[in-house]
Amino acid sequence: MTSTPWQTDHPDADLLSRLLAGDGLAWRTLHRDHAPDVFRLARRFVHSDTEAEEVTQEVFIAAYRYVERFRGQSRLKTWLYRITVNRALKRRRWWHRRREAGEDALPVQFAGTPGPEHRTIDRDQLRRLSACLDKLEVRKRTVLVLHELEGLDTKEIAAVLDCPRSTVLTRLARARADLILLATRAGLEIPASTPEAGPAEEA
Amino acid sequence: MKTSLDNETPRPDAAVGRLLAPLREAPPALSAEREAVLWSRLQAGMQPPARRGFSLPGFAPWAGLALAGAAALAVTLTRATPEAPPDAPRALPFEASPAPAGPEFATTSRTLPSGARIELHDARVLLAEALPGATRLVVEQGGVTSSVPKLKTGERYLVETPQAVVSVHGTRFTVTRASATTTRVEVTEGLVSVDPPGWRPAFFLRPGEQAEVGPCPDSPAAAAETTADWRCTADGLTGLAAAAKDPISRDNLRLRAGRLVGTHAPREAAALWQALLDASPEGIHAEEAAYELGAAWHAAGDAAAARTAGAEFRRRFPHSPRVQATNQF
Repeated sequence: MTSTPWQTDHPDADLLSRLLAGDGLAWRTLHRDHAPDVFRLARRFVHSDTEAEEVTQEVFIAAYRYVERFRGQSRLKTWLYRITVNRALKRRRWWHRRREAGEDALPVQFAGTPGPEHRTIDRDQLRRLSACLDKLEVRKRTVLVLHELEGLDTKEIAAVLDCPRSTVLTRLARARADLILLATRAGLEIPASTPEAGPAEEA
Repeated sequence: MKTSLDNETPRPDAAVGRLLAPLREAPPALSAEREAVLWSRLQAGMQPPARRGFSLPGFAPWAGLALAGAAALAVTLTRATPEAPPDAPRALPFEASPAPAGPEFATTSRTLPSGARIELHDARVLLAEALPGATRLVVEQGGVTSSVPKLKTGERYLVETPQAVVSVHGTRFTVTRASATTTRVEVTEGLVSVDPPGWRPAFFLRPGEQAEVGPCPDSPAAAAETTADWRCTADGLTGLAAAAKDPISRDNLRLRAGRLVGTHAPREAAALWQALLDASPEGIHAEEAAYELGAAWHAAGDAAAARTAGAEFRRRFPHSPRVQATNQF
């Protein structure tokens, strides 16, 4: 049997070997453990829960088809995130093309789904905030979402987007500056900077 | 490229973190029930390649009716989606173009492309898939009665709610969203299977029978408590042995056992597979049950029971393609 990169030291080696062996329970485990993350990330980019579910399904079908091509250079979750970002952005571009062709209106929805515990959140503010995010250039938006909303560090983002970490840092800085400006223009109150706000910033 | 927006705010990282806090603290969530529904759909769409030679856990017989090679088409009764999303693979049924949300049905009855006739009772229904051999309805509110012509091999007809996926075996039946968390299924003619997502068992309903499916239990432990009498709602049978003697219930047991393996309740699954074997040791599912019994014990961490089951399997089915796999038990 040929050796695979993850057989000895990959953190997901056991699950990967079972997936490759066609273990149905392993696929069930993968879906149960990661579908909520995939859905949440997809929902940050598409405009409805239905679409996010469709993206989630596409991601796992793609994973099922292409798991043999996975080279073990990242965590399984990172690999799934990469597929998710690609699929979600393609779907998003498809919607934008339809809108530009006048075929359909692109609904603007906030990507969060506040439950009863979040009733105090100003829904209008969320909507405007989401609209500001929507206006960001797509590469900046992607980096910002992955870092600020999904909590990935810049190394992980570089792995998801398959680009240098320096590129991620640059896009992140520009995305933040752009968002501040867009939020100001939209009349949103910019909170005062405090060291503890947002995900931890790595060196 | 440097934008004009750059450097207008000296250190915006913390401010952006606080600005986005409401979105971060209220993330979009996929419920366990929806996750299970998505998994059920994937099972229908993911036909395992022959070289891999495995069955997905809880793989229902009707899941084999998935649309081989047919591009799924998301349409509503009022308009068709003009094009599929870019790069959408065509080979599997659930890689459909996004279904536009919630068309309202103004009329009370329709004939679908598959030939099925539906009656809507104050209903809002999404026709998520509509091909001559494949129909998938999503009931968002109200009730829908379906009269389905006899299905050919490879055809399917599904009605979905958050509480259940109801599939047809040539019949007339009604699915009603009785409340936000409850779905009622009534069968007038033929046979349907009801597959609640999550930990609960799938089961069949026959003419004159009805079932009401409520919210999904939160844990496999809660579901395991109902294992012994899970089939009672459909045909009044109690206990595994009694259920295993009934052909319809036997299929239910099989579905249930597969689902339990898939939801980390392998000991309960082993009990079900054993009941199936005891009730029908030479039946058509005997090989599957004998193999899955060992797999369930293996998943449960009972190496001795798994090895015994594996040895018994190799003795009884020495030419089975699963023999090699039993060596892992």
